[in-house]
Amino acid sequence: MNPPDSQLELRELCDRLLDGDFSPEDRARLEALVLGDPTLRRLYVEIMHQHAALRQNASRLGDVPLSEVLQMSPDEPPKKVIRFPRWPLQLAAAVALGFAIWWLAPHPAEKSLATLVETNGARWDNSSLPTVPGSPLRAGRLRLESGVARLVFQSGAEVSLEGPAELELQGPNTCFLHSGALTAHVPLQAHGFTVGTAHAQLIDHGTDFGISADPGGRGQVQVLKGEVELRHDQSGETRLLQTHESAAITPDRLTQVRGADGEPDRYAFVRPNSAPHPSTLTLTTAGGAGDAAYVVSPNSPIHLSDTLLLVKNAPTKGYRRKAYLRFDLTPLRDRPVAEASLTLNFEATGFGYASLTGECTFAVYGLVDDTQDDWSAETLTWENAPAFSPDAGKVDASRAVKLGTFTTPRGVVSGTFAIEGQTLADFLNADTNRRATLIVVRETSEPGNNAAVHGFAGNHHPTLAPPTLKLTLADR
Amino acid sequence: MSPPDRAEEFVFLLARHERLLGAYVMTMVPHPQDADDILQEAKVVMWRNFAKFEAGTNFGAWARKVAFHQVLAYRKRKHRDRLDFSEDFLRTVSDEVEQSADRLEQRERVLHDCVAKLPPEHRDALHLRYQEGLSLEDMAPRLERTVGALYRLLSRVRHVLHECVSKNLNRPENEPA
Repeated sequence: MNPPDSQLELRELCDRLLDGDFSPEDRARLEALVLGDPTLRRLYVEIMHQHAALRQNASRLGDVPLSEVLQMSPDEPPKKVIRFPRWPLQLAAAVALGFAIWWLAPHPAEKSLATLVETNGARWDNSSLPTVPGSPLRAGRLRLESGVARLVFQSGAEVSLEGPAELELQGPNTCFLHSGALTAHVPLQAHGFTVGTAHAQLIDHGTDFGISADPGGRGQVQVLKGEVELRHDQSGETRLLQTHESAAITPDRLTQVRGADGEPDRYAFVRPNSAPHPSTLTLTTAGGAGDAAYVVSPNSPIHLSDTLLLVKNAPTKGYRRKAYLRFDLTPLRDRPVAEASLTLNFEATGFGYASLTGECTFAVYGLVDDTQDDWSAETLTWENAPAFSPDAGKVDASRAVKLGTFTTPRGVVSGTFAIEGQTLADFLNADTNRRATLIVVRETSEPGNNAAVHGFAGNHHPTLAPPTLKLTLADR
Repeated sequence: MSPPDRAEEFVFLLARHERLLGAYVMTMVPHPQDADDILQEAKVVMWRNFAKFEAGTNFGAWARKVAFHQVLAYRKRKHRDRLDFSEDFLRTVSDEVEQSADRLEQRERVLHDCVAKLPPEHRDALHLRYQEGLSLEDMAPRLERTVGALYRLLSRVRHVLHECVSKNLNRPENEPA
């Protein structure tokens, strides 16, 4: 259905207003349209709001640095006219309120390789990558437990990953299928799209194809349309597969299967129990029965962040925060942990000032009382939280044991921080119910309330990985 | 509450509402530099008068009221321009934003997903236009397209995004939690 002419005219006027030469006549016409019709009024507001939203998300222009604003007290007229020199202010603002979501351009140092476009009934296991649709994906692994996830590589290659699967993103046009199945659509500009597997490499020549791999490295390729090239690692064998042709990958060779037009035999790669046990294991609070939350001391009226877990220790009781993490230890299958580390990805929260924040020491506690492991992020409160202690920097020592500390330098509110050591490994080994609850508190109490609230990524951060346990397993 | 708490509360509330506030000013003053100046002044005025804000009432609406007065004040100070919207228009548009505040905030959340679905060349254009803040003239050589082609491209991308957001707005997962 074509939109009415007046809608089209309004869009054209907005285009001129935003990108072109907007004339006084245009202004008069725009006003007449907007004032005369509620539908057009609504459309105008939506178009302008969208424009502003794109602009604000791209670069946070127009923010007053709060450090400037808050130098004055409320109700007290400023002593001098405040001039806003433009550029340094934007920098300061970006720092002061630096929680913009950089969806248009990821951090230049870590280039986004692909975008997670949509998910369909997807359940994620311990992924090292963010798993919210729309997320830019950098190099790393996606572990899909079930369902389907669609991602588009920078090159334009589109991949639908079917769980259970583990896919490693390696480059803007390259990935490695550790296990599971995917189908790919590769447009012209992405020819050369490469999928690695344990024993062979698939190079696309412009196709739709499907590929599957079991954890042992055996695989199956089927060309739905077009042509792909298969290169076997060990034998050096190369094969070209055309539309409707299939091939099987085994550790020592490729076997072409002609006329395999039915359902591809995807092997029985869905056999987690038969998978060789890796000697290292990465668990996140997003996996299995894991969870992550933070609690706020009573009388704090404001809900704060959906994506970050906030931790604060201030003299004012109303604004203290602690973070709770639960890891599902089931994937350990009772194998003892030899070494362990916990990694947290901090990001500026936009609350308080990094510049007013001194060196801060954080402590991580492990909950010894396994009966308290069954908390949920929805119902967790300051006082019902496991190992409750009224002090922001402490927990109930009879129920939890201190596993380690880390220190953020003066003025630093972002970056990756970790604890590791035997105490953490011992704690995990002593667990009896395959659920491990860790508590993160800030030991350093800030003298003023203007110091930054520290925050690290929880399970719903669009770009940063959730709290992660990296484990090295000992032989039984 | 002691003064430092007030400051923190202000920061929280502002962080929650400032995005829509920026868009609000834009609907009345599309010129980006002017809009930024007004927004900055408005935030200063808001902080100065924060004691008058009643905790628990609608901070967003209060902030927009402050910003509206700043828009009027700014226009009074500034040389009258034939491109400036009439006061009648400002009030009408301002009311429209006020009524649509919740929906606009939802739209922004959905916009996120819609941008991610754009083909790379469209995202590149958005990136240069919005992140780098380039004019169409400066974008043209970078993208090897004419200004006219870019103008049409941006127009189309805006339209596609708007349609995408409208279409996805009412899907269940976008319902406010």
